[in-house]
Amino acid sequence: MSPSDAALVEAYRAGDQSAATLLVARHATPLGRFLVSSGVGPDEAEDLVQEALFRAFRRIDTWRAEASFRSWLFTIAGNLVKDEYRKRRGRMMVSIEDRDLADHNDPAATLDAKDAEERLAAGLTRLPRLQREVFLLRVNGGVEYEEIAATLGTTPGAARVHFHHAVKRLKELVR
Amino acid sequence: MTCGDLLDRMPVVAAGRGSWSAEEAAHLAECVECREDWALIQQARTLGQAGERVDTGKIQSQVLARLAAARRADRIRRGGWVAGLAAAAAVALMLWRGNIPPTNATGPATTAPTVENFSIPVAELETLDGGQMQAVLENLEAPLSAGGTPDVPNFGDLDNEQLQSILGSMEG
Repeated sequence: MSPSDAALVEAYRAGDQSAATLLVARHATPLGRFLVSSGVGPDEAEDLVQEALFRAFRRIDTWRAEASFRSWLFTIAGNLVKDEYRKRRGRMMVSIEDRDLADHNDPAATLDAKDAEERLAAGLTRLPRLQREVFLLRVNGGVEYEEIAATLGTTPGAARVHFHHAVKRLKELVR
Repeated sequence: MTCGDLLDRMPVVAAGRGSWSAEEAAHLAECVECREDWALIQQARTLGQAGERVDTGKIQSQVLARLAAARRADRIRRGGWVAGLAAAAAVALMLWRGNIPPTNATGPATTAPTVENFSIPVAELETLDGGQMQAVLENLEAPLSAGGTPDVPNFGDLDNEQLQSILGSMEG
C-alpha cells in the first residue's frame, strides 16, 4: 500500500528527500490538468507545475492537513495563475488554437468541438474567481465539497452553491 | 432525487470514480437540463487533458534541484547571520573588558523637535471648485478592478436552509 500524502509530507519534513519525489509523481499530472483548464497553455503549464510544487515544498510547514495536499497545491497553482493573469493585464494566457483538441474524423464535428471548447475556455476565465476555483477543484480534482470549503475558507454548503452557479453560468456562456 | 443531486454526482462519474445508479441513469435519459450539465462537465474534463502531458520526470528533477539550491542558499544566509552575531559579540566583549564607552553614548541625549498642530496642505484639492471635488469623490468610489472578474458573495455565512433556497430558486 502506498503511503498517504500526510505520511510523505511528514517524511519530507523530517529530511527524507525521496518523499518529495513521490509527491511530485503523484500530483504533477493533476496539477497540469488543473492549470490548463484554468486557461494556461500546455507549454506554460509545465513551468507553472514546477513552480507550484517548488513553492509548496518551500512552505511545507504551513500545510495543516485540514484540506488535502492536492487541493492545497491547486490553491497555490491558482494563485500563480492569478499572478500571471495580472502581469498580462487580464489577457488570455493561451491561444485556444494551441490546445490539443479532440481528434474527429468528421471536419464539421471537429469545428463544432473546437468552437465549444473555445467558448468553454473563455467562459471559465469570465467566471468570478471563487466560482471558477470551486468548479475546477470539483471537476478536475474530483475534490469533495467539505475539502473545497476547507481549502477556500468557506462552508461545504456554500461551495455547493458556487459549483451549481458556475455550471449554470458556464452553460449560458457556452451557448 | 433532484437535478441538483445528479449534478453533484457528475464530476465523480466523469472522473471514472463511480457510475450511474439505475435511478440516476433514468433521470439523465429524461431530463434535457441534466444532459446539458453532463455534457458541460465532460467537456470541462476534456479541456484539461492537454495538461496531462507534463513531463513528470523532468519536473521531479528540476524541483529537487531547486530545493537543494534553496537549502544551500538558506545555509549560507544562516551562516552569515551567525558570523555577524559572533562579530558583534566579540566587539561587545572588547568594549566591556577594555571599559571603552561606545561612541554613540558619549554625547547628551537629544530630543527631536516636535511641532504642535502640524498640518500638510493639499494644494491640489484646496483649489478645486464644488463640481471638480465631486468628480474626484466619484472617481474614488468607482471600482478599481477594471477588467477583472466580478465579485460574488461568499455564501459562507448562510445556513443550510438559506443555501437550499438559493439552489431551489436556480432549479425552479
